[in-house]
Amino acid sequence: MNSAQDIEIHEFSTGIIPERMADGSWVSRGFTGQYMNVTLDPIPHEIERSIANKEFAVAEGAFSDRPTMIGRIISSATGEQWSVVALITKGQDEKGRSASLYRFFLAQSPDGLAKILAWVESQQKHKKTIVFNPFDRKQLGQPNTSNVLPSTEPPSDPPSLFQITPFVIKPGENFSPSQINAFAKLKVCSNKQPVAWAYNVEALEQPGRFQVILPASDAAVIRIQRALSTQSTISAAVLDEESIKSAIKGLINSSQVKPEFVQTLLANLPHVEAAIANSSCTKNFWYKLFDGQGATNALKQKIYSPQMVRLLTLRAVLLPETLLTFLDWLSPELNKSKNDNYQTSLDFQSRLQQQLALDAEYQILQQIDAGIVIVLSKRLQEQIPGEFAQWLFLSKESLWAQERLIEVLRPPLQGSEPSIAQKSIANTFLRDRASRGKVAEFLEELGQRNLIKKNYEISASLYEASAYFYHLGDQQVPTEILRRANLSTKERTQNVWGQRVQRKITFIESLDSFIEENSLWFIVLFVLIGTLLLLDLWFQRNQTLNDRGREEILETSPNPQTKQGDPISVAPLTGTANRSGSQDSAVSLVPSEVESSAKAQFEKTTRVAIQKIIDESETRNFSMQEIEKIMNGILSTSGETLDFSVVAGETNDESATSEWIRAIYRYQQVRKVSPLNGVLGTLPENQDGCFSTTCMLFDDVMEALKAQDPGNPGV
Amino acid sequence: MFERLKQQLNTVKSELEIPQSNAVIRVIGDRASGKTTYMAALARWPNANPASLVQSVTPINEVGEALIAKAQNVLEQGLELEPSDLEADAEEVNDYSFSIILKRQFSLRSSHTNLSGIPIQLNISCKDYAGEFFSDLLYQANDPKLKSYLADCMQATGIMFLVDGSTRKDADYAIGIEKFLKTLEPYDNASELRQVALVLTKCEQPDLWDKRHQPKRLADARYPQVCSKLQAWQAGTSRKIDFFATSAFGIIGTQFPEANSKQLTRSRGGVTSILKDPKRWRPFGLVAPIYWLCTGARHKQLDED
Repeated sequence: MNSAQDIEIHEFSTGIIPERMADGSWVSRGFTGQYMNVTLDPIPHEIERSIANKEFAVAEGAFSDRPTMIGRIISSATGEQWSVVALITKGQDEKGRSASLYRFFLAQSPDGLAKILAWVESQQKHKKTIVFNPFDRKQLGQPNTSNVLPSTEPPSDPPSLFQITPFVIKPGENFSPSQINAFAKLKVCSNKQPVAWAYNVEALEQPGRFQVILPASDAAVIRIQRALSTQSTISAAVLDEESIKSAIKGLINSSQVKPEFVQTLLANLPHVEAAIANSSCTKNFWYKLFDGQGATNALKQKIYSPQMVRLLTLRAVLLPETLLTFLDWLSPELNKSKNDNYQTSLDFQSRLQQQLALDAEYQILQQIDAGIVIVLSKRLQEQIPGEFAQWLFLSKESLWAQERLIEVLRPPLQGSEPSIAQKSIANTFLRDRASRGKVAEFLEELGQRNLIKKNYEISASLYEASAYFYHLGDQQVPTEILRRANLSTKERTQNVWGQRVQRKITFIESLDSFIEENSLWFIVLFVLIGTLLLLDLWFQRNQTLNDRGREEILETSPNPQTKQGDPISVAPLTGTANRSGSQDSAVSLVPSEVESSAKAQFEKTTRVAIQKIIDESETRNFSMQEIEKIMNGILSTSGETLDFSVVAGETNDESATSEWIRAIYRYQQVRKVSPLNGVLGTLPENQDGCFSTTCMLFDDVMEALKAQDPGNPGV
Repeated sequence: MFERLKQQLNTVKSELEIPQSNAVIRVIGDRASGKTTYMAALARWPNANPASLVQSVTPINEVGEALIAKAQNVLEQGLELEPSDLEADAEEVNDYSFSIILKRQFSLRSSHTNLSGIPIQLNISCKDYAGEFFSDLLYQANDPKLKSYLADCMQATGIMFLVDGSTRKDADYAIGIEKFLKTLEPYDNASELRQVALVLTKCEQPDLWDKRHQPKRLADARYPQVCSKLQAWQAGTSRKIDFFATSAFGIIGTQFPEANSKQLTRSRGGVTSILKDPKRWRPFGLVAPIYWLCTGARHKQLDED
């Protein structure tokens, strides 16, 4: 009957197929892949994980004649504390090969290690085997019981340099397992780590995970110290390294993505902030894990096997700062026509995504978003080639695909805490106008590429994002961007991603808007223009009447030659006899003030205009005589010849000048040209109505010359 | 402009890069047939012959590197490697990754003497299953472990079936390999080439060493039933077999060669031995089956000494 002091000591051993030999000894005929002589089912998960993490494993090679012992306290997730002692001995198989065989004892008690050791010692005293023995059969549910109390003696003085962890005791010092356990407990008091010690060991797989180690020999000290120097002790206690390693191995070695591996990684995700901080232990732990699978070697030696492509893809997902290195490594593959590796990575990403999407919290997004920000930032600074960004964002299977890019760039909802990526975006892309403009252009470019590929939906989303950044950059969005984003191109302003954005307006629209804003002025302007138009119409009417009058003059000419088709068909405006009564009354003498004014400007106006008419006529191959004759015919009042030497500037005869002025004045009267000033105007100096006298005269001269010489092609 | 230049540069670079061939290999075979020793000798690649075609063998991952330590700490100390534990899950089995660079690339289709001066890189990922898989597990139809191992085998592009050349277990192995190939059959994808290399190990033994250059004849003579099962399997679509003779320990001396090993036991199940002279340790023929599994072609020079 068990007393209250009794403890249950369960056990299990390495599973082998034993074969009894003639001499009573036994050999192994192979491993079974499961434990034997088990008294507890199931074996607590945490203990199995500790074994899988090689925390009880002795390294292959040297063996000690005496059993090796390893003691640990393992806490379960539910707070139970298991004390586990492993006894490791050398066994042989039928081929003579040696193998390390383990017998584990465990008790559910925090001070169980001492109790197990006390029991083991008592068993040894009674010559009972407590080392691995396949024929020491055990039944499930029938643990060993012990009422042996551990020694209450205080441990002997701890050796010097005890503060170092793990402390490797010099061999030869005659400590018992119980004393080593007591030393380990003392160390635990100072460093708060779980108790873990190794007694009489030649080599350990994980020497960094112990408090105290007692090597079996001097050679063992060297081996253990060497192993310690290459091992890191970080994070060992908090992370189930082997399960993460298994997950990574499982993911990279198979074209399938098993959900349990993804879950393991998600449960142990490296924290993005920690990963960004260079000094982070967690980061080193993860780097070491990936390097353990060959990440650095693959990069350096350019090994493009499917496993390495998957490994580096996974590393780029979990450690976003390695994404650029990954892209750089894969880039030679991007240029190849047959890029299997590129496709391997995409297939892997696609399968990974299916699993990641099943994760309710989708925790890995932080890592993916961080990668997006890094690549976008480098691309906008033109520090990486465009093809990197295109491959990453445009590939449909990509974890960093454009849909995610859009989500990352979208501003956080009001009141919600921005993500790490969003904060990073605020500090980089939103910092200045130029950066915002660059993001807008980059998104526009992606949108355009999708448009070419006829991916209309995503193209519109990218244009919408581009519109948002155009707004942030220029305060206005080009209409074309809005049109391609399937947004309104009519509205001046509209809501895009929670921002009121303004459409960039065209020239016509800006004019329209100007008119709207200055409507009163425009009304005045229209009235003025209207008045001018009316005036113009009135003048045109008068001109038509004049033309009619002129036709009448030509028709009533007394010159018989005209009627007979005489080339000189111009009727001179001479004598009242040639005009109707009304016309006669209209022709009067030139008022003196008009005459003096016309005289004053004769040099600059009339003379120049006549000269111009002469020049123009001459260029049409008419002689000066013909021209003079025609002009006299049109302008001369009394058959007197106008003096052309005044026009030529050869003389300055005042009476001749007056004759010209009077002739012009009358011409203006007859032709009803306004103003009636006796002046032939010139352009552009004189833009008033007298220029129309010149034009009219020129037309008359030309018409007369034409009538005189119909064969002249110059007219 | 910058991008176009960079692209051109990359194209040039990629043209200059060493062509690579990959293989995912599963090593199966009886217990103590020399699977782990094969891998350790390959990783260690001791006393490389300067005239050898193999320029380098580099472990890529930590378990590959650990093999070198195993070779140094165990084999070179005149000790035997421990038997590999039968993992409950094939995912847990060590997956050794190596990169092997051969000095020159040889034409794969035409003659193998077409020297182009360009090296070739073989990238392999290789798991050696505990011998128990072949000797016991295959016969336990509903064992979840077996399912896990078979699923893992599906990832392989090539199988190396290692047989201790000195065993007399032809009938046993014939049953074993037939069972193995039959179990894999339902998962077989006819469009993908499956290769099985029958690799005779421990050929430093004098009776094997003499015939190392005729591996097929050697295999036919010693393992007729195994060969016949493999031939029958090869009749199916997209299947290929070939034969190789190897020695992880090699021999010492050229005029009067002797095995560089000390025999510990000898039985129907083969020999167990340890390395005799680590300083003159030079394995034989280890890369030949890997090259064949990677490229689908046999390399004459790799079969030579």
